[in-house]
Amino acid sequence: MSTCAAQSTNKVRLAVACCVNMCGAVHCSDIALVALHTKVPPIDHERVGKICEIPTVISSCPTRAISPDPAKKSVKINEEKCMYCGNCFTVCPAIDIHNPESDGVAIVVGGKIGSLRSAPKFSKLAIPFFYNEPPRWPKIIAAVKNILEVYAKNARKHERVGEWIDRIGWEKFFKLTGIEFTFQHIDDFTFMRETMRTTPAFKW
Amino acid sequence: MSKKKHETPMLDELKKGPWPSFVKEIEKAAVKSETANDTLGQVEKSYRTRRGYWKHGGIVGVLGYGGGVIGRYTSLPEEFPGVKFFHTVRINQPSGWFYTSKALREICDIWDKYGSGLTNIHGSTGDLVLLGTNTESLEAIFAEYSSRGWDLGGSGSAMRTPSCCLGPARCEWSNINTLEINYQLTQEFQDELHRPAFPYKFKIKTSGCAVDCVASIARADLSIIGTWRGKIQIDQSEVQNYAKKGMNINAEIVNMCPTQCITYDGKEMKIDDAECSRCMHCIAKMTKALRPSGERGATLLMGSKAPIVVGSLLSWVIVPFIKLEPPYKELKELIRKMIEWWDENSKPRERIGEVIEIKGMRSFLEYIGVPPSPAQVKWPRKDPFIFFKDEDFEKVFKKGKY
Ligand code: HEM
Ligand code: HEM
Ligand code: SF4
Ligand code: SF4
Ligand code: SF4
Ligand code: SF4
Repeated sequence: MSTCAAQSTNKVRLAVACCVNMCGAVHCSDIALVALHTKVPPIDHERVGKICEIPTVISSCPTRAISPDPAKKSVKINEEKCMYCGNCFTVCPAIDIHNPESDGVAIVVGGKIGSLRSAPKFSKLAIPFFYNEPPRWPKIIAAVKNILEVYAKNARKHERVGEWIDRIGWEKFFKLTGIEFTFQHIDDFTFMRETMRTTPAFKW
Repeated sequence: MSKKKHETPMLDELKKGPWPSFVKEIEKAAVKSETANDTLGQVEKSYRTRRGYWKHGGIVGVLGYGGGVIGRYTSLPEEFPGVKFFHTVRINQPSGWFYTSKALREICDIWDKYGSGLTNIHGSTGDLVLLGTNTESLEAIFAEYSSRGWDLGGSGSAMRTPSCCLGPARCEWSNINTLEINYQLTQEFQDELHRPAFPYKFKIKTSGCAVDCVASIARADLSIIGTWRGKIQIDQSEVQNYAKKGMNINAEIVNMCPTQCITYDGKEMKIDDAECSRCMHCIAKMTKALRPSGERGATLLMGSKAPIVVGSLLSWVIVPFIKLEPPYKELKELIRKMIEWWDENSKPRERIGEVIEIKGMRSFLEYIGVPPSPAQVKWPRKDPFIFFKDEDFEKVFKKGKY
């Protein structure tokens, strides 16, 4: 990848976050990997009663998906509301969100921190999911390399990844990189309003 | 002392290649440390089974302190007894992360004595981070470090260790003395740092200019970013030197200026300073030719955070300009007011930015005594759902004569 870096038009901040806490400024990096869970965590009702403090578990959930289950002396999770953040697991090991088969990695791109030229930006979703393939994650590496190469080839001098994409448009980004656009790319968590395209002017 | 305990075929893969390898480093520590040895074993197991085995546990700390040590445990203590405890110790870093090599050796020697010998030096928080020790050693560790003048950093629902860019110590772009400001704030908020009493964490990060090398705008509840009110001074002969060396000044500087306030006719560069938004692009690319002048100070922005809990935020402008000079009284008082307002209006585990969003900018700005300004918004309210207070009619919308 060193050859790509030498050719790139500005710095590329590559970052990796092992969970959605995204320690550091992963959410504002040119190309970043973030590890994700993709399924509602199963509840071990027997252990919840023994080792977890139920009010704490309920209040740990940012989407208020968790409510008491008095019959089982435990809690239940509203599957429609859960976005697999794992906060509940942090306070209650009996809700074990780990799942080697469905945990994976997403790639987000186009973030920046400095205010040079354009305002700081969040990284946005490029590829929603890769299976976790230690120790070398070859598919992820190939995907990052592809994005880096397409950027290096197409961006203008001094343009960061996010500035390049803003100039050419996201539709062009997906076309140039050959990345498939999926339902996962459309924000349906909190910020849909500000992310929808409100003009018929876009590129084919 | 201890020899390699675990076969690690997957981690061995990551020793290949020309780059530094975390596996090689942990192996070096494992020669002396059972903790590092079992770390290797557990990480290998994680690679094999594709899941993590670290967990939170009981709160640990040292006498007189409510934070600074993060309790970490393995969920497999029988299999990996060396990491039954793997606590993190946060040491308050010096401003701008300046150390003598002697100080680093001293820190590492103490850590070799009581801990795993592993450090990732500076974590995302800014503290100097020491990885992996047990509960019994904590008091001794603290005693040794504090006797040499080091202190613990912040953790939990507290003021976190403030951090700053290296600023005027090494960077010609710095508009403020980031190092001094950071030191003064760290001293001012010792109590808040070591005795968690806030609704949630509160981070202060200071950058000398809009390049923002400490990413304050992305991960600090209070982002202090140096700026200026004055002209960009132009050294025309240096401008010519850049042109001679092959810089396409029109393409790279003029056309990339976000406010289109630069002109260049091949001989002379001009900047319409009143239109400049101080983004730093031209200065960063033509450092020898351009430099800010006039009054220096900072913009205070607030609210940024990572995705947990309801989505990430970038800091937004609260105070467009504040002078920052010793003893920084105005800044310190302002921060105390911000925290007071937050404390009064927040539920547990709400960051100040989220509370400002819920309660509104007006409540916050009125409390801290900062007037509304167009610099605080991208654009004004779009819908005509407008809140009024009685006093607004008297003070702002006065009846005139027809
Ligand atoms: C046998 C009696 C007492 C014992 C053993 C005791 C012990 C302690 C200990 C261990 C702390 C923690 C210190 C720290 O975290 O910094 C503490 C804090 C405190 N104690 Fe006591 N205490 C006693 C009586 C009292 C009394 C009678 C009062 C008040 C009338 C009091 C007021 C406080 C206050 C205000 C703090 C908080 C200091 C701070 O960290 O800001 N204590 N005490
Ligand atoms: C025999 C009597 C007492 C004993 C053994 C005792 C013990 C303690 C202990 C062990 C702490 C622990 C603090 C920590 O771990 O951080 C503490 C804190 C405290 N105690 Fe006492 N205490 C006594 C009487 C009192 C009285 C009578 C008062 C008030 C009138 C008082 C007020 C406090 C306060 C305010 C704290 C600090 C809480 C905090 O900082 O979170 N204590 N005490
Ligand atoms: S909280 Fe998440 S992103 Fe931060 S260090 Fe832990 S796993 Fe990594
Ligand atoms: S994973 Fe997150 S969203 Fe889902 S139930 Fe747990 S805390 Fe709530
Ligand atoms: S933030 Fe600005 S002043 Fe500070 S080190 Fe970076 S470029 Fe220099
Ligand atoms: S600092 Fe930014 S806005 Fe100001 S003149 Fe330079 S490029 Fe233009």
